[in-house]
Amino acid sequence: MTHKKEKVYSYVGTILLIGSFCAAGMLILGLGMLFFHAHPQDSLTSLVCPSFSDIFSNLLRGKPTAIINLGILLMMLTPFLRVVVAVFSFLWEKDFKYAVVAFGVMVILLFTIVPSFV
Amino acid sequence: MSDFFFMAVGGLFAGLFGSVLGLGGGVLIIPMLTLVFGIPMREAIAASLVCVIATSSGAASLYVKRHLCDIRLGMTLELATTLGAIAGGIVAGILKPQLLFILFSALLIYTAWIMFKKKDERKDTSNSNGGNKSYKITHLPLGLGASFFAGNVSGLLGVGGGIVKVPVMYLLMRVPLKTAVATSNFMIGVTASAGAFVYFSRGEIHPLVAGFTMLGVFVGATLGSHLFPKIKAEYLKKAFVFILLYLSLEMLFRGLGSHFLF
Repeated sequence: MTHKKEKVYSYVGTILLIGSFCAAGMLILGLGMLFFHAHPQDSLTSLVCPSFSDIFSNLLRGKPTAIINLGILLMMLTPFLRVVVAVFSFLWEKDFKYAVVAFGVMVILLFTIVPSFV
Repeated sequence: MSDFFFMAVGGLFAGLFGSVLGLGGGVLIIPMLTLVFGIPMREAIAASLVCVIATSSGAASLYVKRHLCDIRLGMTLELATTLGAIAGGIVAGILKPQLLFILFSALLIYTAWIMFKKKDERKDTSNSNGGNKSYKITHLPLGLGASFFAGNVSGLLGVGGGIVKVPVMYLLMRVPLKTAVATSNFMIGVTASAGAFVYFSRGEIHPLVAGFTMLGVFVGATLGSHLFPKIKAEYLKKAFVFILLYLSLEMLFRGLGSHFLF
């Protein structure tokens, strides 16, 4: 079994890179916005631990903290995205055994991701 | 506001030292957030998990592209580490924070011990072509069990758990050390993310604490892995054994409701 020029490796590597740099970019944007218009009470008290729906309603109101939250969420979702990419890459290569394994990991992750979004 | 700036600076150093020493940032981030900034233990664990994801994604993208890690082995073991991390995250929500401090103190002692007797991965001469499986993996069921435990530690205490995964793969499953290190790094992101969502659903991810620290860690780790890929860190490692032991005492005393030095 040699897997020399496998696409899996390059796709998975790319998704990790894009996801983490986008997330870092959003954080810089959000933290920068916060830095320039910091309302003391807004930035410290109203921030504690929002839920997913809060994040979106705050995002629509253009709150910097919502951008930060979204950046954090994107970072948290990047590993999940790479598992999804791996499922499809294994299928593409007709490596069904590992497509099933990756699918299993995806389902386990969904079990922890989905409840926190509803 | 200045607190958050210092969190980012602290995170930068944690990421830098972590990547040079081959430690995940977690063992440094949690003592920093709890002891220095007085962040509650569970929020510190949650922030650390987010940081761990950031470092792992940054580093893993390099390892993956260089074919150093074994994606197939990683995926298989992830079945166990993710379940373990979810269980660990749930248990962390039940246990008293003081107990988490004490458990973390034990983890620091174990980390110091591993660091004290650690073999330099570059001296390992065994075959390590991640993609070309010229090695035979042994003890898979036992390896899965141990990976569940590694995930547990990760979800419970907010570290990557590489300190458990690497010995499992290298000593138990006979994976070459370089491949084991790279594969562990690859798995850490998924493991930590499974745990992080448990904390997220409990509302324990503080956006500013996690955001500032993560940004620092991400920059520090990226700098560290590019600037010092081949640094000889022997003396730094020995010095860190003492720092880890000190942090362990401080965390233990904090768990018992008092202070050691500061």
